[in-house]
Amino acid sequence: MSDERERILKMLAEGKISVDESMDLLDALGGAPKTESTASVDTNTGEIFEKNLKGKLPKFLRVEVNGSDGENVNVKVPLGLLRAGIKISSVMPSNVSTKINSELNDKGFDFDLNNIKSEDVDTLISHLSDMEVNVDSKDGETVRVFCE
Amino acid sequence: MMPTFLIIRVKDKGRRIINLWIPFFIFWLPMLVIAILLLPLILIVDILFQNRFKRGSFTETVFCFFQLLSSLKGLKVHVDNPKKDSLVEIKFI
Repeated sequence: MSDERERILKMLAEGKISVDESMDLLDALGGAPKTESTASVDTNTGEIFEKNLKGKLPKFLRVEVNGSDGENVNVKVPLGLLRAGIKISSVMPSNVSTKINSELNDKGFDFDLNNIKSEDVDTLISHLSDMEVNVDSKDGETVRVFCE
Repeated sequence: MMPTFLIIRVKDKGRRIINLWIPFFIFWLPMLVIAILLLPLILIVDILFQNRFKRGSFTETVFCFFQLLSSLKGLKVHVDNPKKDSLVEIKFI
């Protein structure tokens, strides 16, 4: 058993962290790359701090489709475009952003473009590194969506 | 950093229809020179119309535009069918 895991279980036994917190930490350690740990616990205060979750932000969104007839689609979109798009939305005239927000609300997206900040985009991008969608059909077609 | 080349390739049944390598970098220097020359004018426009641009200044808009262009680097769309020997590829490198 690794030292980190042992420390987490010890703190759970001592009541310094809750069951949910211990599970989150164990998940983080379990999915972490072997070269770097992504979570650690201060044994004195029980404070849980996560480091290096942001260590490597994904840079591209990839979509790979392999069709049964041999057709292949490979799309690579830089995630920097997302940041640039958010910045552009912040300098749009207010009447344009109001119109966009109302159209989004009509479609069921209940959020305001004006409230999206670049820090939120960084958080979103850092979590996208875990996203992976794999679809395999009976015809042999495969679809893969992931971030790298 | 802005993309250096835009590559557009189209191939149909083995025949190369389009194979364009557009050097983006030849646009950088003139754009940079124009941007530097126009910077005083842009700042004057910002000062004169600062109340009009409530959401963001004209300078910010110009920088956002350049940021958008820079983030195109790495964008790639590749569709091919080896059986039909056809290919459509657009990429910014």
